[in-house]
Amino acid sequence: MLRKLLKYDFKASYLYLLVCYGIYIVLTMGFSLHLKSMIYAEYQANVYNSSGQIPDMIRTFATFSLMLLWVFCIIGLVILTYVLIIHRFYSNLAGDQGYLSLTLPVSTKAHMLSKLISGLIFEFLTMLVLTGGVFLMISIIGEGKFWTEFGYLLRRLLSEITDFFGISFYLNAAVGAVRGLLMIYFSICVGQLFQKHKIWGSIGTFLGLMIVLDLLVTIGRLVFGIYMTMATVFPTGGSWYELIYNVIQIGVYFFLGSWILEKRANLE
Amino acid sequence: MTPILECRDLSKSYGKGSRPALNHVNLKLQRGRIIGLLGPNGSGKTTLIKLANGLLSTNEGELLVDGSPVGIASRKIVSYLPERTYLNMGMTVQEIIVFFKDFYEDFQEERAYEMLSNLQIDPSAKLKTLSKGTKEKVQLILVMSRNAGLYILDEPIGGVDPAARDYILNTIITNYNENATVLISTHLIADVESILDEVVFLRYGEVVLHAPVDAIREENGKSVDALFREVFKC
Repeated sequence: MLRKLLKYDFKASYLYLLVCYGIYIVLTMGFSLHLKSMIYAEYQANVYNSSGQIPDMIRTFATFSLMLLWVFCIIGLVILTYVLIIHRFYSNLAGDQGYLSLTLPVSTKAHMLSKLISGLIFEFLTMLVLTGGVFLMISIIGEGKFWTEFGYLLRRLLSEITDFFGISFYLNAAVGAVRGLLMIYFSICVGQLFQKHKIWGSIGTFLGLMIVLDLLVTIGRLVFGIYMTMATVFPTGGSWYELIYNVIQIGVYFFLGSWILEKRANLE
Repeated sequence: MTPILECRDLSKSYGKGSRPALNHVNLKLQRGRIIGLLGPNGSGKTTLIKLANGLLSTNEGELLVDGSPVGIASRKIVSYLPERTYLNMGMTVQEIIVFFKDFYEDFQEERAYEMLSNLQIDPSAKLKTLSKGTKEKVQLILVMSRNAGLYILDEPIGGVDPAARDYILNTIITNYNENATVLISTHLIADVESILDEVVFLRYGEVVLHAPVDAIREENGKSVDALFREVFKC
């Protein structure tokens, strides 16, 4: 059943994301070509009148506008990814579609897992596309030189990160992503327990959790001397406390969230 | 024989201090019957239906479907039509049929397409392009295309025209097997009365009557519609 749920979770959102990825890539290419045109004087001479005041202003304005648009596009893509992930969970399990989803012969754990896997994949794809866009820009501006050294640089970078932070860096990053998404889902589940203002209940739960968890981290640091932030990871190779702390949260969010959907459903 | 639906001292309220939506309800529904769940607004009909589908949780008592608490096993045998549109509007009618086929082993695809054809609904149409009444017809077709043990229909004919009502009621009669039970909640008693075997009257969350339709006619000399108007007179 999980495979079937995943199929419909992907189908519900992938098209929106693909369109946005496309817009981002096109914009990145446009911006990169524009930057390249500025860098290469020969090209400038063909297009702009370098001695005139107005064309320079137009060029600066165009560069600034394109850069702004590109930055907004990056921010927008990240926001849209999370909006789609959250909207899918909310509408499918807590909104009107919940009347169908929660009456399917499927366990609520499977629902939760499906939303988690699809959400993580969307998150990962967005990060991949955003990073790819930056590489694309460098490759356009730098032409062929970029790709010859790209593989080597990437391997070097990954090796340096691993040497510096240790393997727990990747583990913490992956576990942190799972924890973050489950925390959002769990907050939505708790919000459903409210008789009125369920969305505000979800937002309040999320903010409340953030405050309480931050408080726990601070207490851990001050009272017990346990450090969990990345700043304290250098150069010892990673905080296992952070990993354990996140894994515990994952378990609580997943099982308690599934239990709320199963035993405390509140679709009014 | 185990009742297809049983409520044992079932209570539900929506908050402290509020009047209970269901108040110590005891009810047994047997197989092979078409049962009308009738009552004025706020009598607890939809609450009972949602509890039977696990969309709400009980405060007290228990609700059993085919002898088991509401869960995956009960969802396999209950075909539920809510009073609202619950489909993903971005999907086409065809896609939603595939969805039902994917998740319900008892879904009869041919039956669904036959009903769509009879009601002249284009399977390739996107749900969001359909009128409210047509969406309701699509939902009913999906629900009645299952070989379920218990059909729970919340206001199945409320939003459709009288001509379509006849077709829908006929669909209900012809598409359930003799071991299945159909529980219909509606205000349009006169329209459904002819197909009902039993009625359950709910008032303020309590069962005030549970009787066969024939017995009501014989004992009271009235139709169910007339009795309802008398019992629930404002």
